Amino acid sequence: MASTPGDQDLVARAQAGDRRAFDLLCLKYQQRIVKLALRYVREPAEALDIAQEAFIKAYRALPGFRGDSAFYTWLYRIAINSAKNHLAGRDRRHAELDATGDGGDSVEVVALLRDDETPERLAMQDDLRRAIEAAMAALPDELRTAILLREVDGLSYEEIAAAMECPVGTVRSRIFRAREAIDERIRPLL
Amino acid sequence: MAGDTDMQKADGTTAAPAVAEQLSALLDDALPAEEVPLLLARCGANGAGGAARGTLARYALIGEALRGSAEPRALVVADRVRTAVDQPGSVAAVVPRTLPGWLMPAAGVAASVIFAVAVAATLGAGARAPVVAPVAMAARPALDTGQITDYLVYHGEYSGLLSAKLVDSHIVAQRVAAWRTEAPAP
Repeated sequence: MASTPGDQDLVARAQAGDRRAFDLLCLKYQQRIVKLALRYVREPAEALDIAQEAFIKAYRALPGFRGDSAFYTWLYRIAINSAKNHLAGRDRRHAELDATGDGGDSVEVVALLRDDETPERLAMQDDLRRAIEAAMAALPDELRTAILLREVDGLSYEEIAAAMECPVGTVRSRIFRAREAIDERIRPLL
Repeated sequence: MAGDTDMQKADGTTAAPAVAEQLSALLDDALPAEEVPLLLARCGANGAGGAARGTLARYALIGEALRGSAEPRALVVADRVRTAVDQPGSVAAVVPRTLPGWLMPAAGVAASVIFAVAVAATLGAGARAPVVAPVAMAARPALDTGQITDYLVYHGEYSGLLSAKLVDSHIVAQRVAAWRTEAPAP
């Protein structure tokens, strides 16, 4: 079987100046990094800012990345530092506002106003969840099992192939077809 | 599907099945290295990049949703990063390595060897100075070590770190040689 180097190849290409490779890494990990940021800040807009900053820092630091750890582990650390720096900066700004007497309730009011957990947003998330559930329910068993073993249980293609007693190529195809079917349902919502 | 290009479906928002299957495998760290250049070429093709990017982003979203925590708003992050990276001057661009990766350690070793040889030669010359000095003095005009030191220090300010170390080493060697010359014979 051909080698599957994970992110190594994309990282090497990004280090050589291929921005498309770095773009694919961003697309691959943006969900996870935003989720990580949301553990530090409540407001989604702030989490997006933190994630964006983390990716840009990673891009700048990419020439120094030696591959001692996985790319995502390295990116994860950068994102945590970005979140902590963001919180420290916010605390500093709040302290300055408090010291000048301009803080207090006004900061809370601004935070509430900027919070974009609007009913429309919540409804969209609910629609998304329902669409995915409906798509999963409509999938043939072998496709549903394959994608659940991959996404929920975190099994590799080889492990799924062993569990489902089929070739690795079939696993790849089944997972893709499951994603394709789910994608058809969610695309109109996004 | 009739009318599909190799890169995207007719609706323009979804990558063609061949590309989408590669993106799906890429997301799972299961894309063979041999397929990466082809995928990158397809992603960079005119008009197809958006479809492929959107497909990969949604596939990642589906995974998070199945794990119970999708964040649709995260879909904009990669776009923002790409815009920031593409703007000239806004983000320091990645400087491509001038040497292939496998040559980088060799270059480091070569630099270390050159430095070590230079230091050894300088210190060695200093240590032998009392022995060879009469012959050398007879053959060459006298050198003002103070002037040489000044020159080396001045020059070192405009040189790299390696040169600065060499200058420092030379000064140290001169001082050691001077002390040995001044020291009384046992």
